[in-house]
This record gives sequence, C-alpha cells and structure tokens, in this order.
Amino acid sequence: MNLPNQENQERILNSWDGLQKAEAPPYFYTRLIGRMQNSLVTDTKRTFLLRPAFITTVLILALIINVVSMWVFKNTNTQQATTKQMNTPATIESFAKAYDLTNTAVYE
Amino acid sequence: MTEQEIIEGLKRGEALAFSELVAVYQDRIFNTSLGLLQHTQDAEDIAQEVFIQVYTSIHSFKGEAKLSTWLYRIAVTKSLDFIRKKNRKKRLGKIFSIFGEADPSANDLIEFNHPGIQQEQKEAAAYLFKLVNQLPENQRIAFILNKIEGISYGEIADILKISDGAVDSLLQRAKQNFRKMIGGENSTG
Repeated sequence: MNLPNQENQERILNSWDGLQKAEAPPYFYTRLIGRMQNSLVTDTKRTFLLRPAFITTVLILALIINVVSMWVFKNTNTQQATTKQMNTPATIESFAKAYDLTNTAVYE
Repeated sequence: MTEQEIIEGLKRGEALAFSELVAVYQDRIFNTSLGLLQHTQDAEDIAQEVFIQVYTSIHSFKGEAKLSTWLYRIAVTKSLDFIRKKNRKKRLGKIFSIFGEADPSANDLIEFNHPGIQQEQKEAAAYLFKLVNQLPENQRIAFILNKIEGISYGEIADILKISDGAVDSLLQRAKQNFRKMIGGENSTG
C-alpha cells in the first residue's frame, strides 16, 4: 500500500466500520467433535500409562529383573572363582605344601 | 435453550447442550480469534480449543460472569498465548537462520484481509490490521473486541476485569497510537 497521508488518517481508522462479522467455517462442529474424540483416545492411552496398577506392575517387573540379574551374576562369580582356583598352575610352593615338604626337622 | 439451561446441561454432560453452545457462540468466538490472530486456520483451531476447554472445565464456571464473557475471556487468553508462542518460534527461527537453518514460517508476513470488510475499504482495513499488531496487548484486545466483534465497553470491562473508564482510556490511547504510527510512516515517506 502507498504510504498514507494526513488526510486519509481518519479513513484508515474508520475502515473497520460496518465490518461484517466473520462466520465460523462450514462443518466447524463436526471437526470439533472429531478433534475431541481424538484427544479423548490419546488421553485414554496416556491415562493407561499413569494408572497405579500399570506403574506398580512395571516397578515389580524391574525389581524381579534386578534380583535375578544379581543372583545370576553372583553364581557366575562363585563358579568362576572355583574354576580359577582349579586351573591355577602348580608352583614349587604349592607342590611342597601339598606333600608337606616344608618340615625340615627330619634332616637335622 | 436459555444460557442457564445450556450451563446446567453441560454440567450434566449432555451432548445437546454442547451442540447448542457451539451453535450459539461459534461465530462470535471464531470472529474474535480471527481478529486477534489474523489467520483463518489458526483462528479455527483456537475456537475449537475454546469449546474443548469449556466442555472440560464447565464445573469451575461459577456463574459470576455471563457465559459469553467467560467464553470471550478464554478466547482472548488462548489467542494471546498462541501469538506469544508463534513469536517465540519466529525469534528462534531468526537465531537458527544465523546458523544457516532457515525456518520457512519465520517470514510469514502475509497481508490479512478480513472476510467481512467491504471491498472499497479493503486496502485501508488491511493496513489497520498491520498497525493493530504494533499496539500494546491490552489496547489491541480492547480495540479488536470493540471494532471487530462490536462488544460494548461494559462487557469488554468484564472480559478484561477492568473498569468501563479504563476501557475508554485504552481505546483512546489506541487511536492516539494509530495516529502517531500513521503520521510517523507518513513523515518518513
């Protein structure tokens, strides 16, 4: 638009006079109901996730998984320790200890 | 259905009361939102949100104000929230554009033509819509409610929770600001 001059200041200010009110678009109500039903479905899904029964079940499951993992981990560690002990290569000290060769009193 | 019957029906969750509410107020709420937002699709979205909020929070309506006043208040609040969010997005868009990630919605300065404007006033009215966005928030709301929706000073006072005199003062200051803006552009041109 061309820049207005002082004379048409009032014309601009009064340009909304006699304005016809805009009407809501056709099928406004139908679209509104559709949107409400959609948001209701989403809310139901969200509400399901926030239900105490659902939250408690998830927490109990997490606890069970943790306990089982700890038990399995502990068992694996014990087993590994035994195997490690069994697999330790024989040294002179262990041989001497096993045949009680540390007592030198006999030769004195 | 009277206003009271609509309220009572809504509180009981009656679909008929809700459809009556929408039938009575949809044009007023849409027209108000359109005046504030200057965008048809956004105005429809906001008008829908207004009715959804009325449906979900009708139990908090104590009847101290008229139902229409409550509806207009929700429409104004939601429209202003929407504008603020949009402006925040625009500012972020400008920041991103510095780093080369331009937001296409950042430059949507399209001239708005209200569908109810007379043909011969179209150009001047579009210019006034551009200027109205530069007004302080309260002056803008008062001016749009009065000029676009034709609401009385008394009801605007109820909607904004101010006195009738304050509404008059807001409208006077809005006109003064318009004159300054028009004069300013004229002197720079």
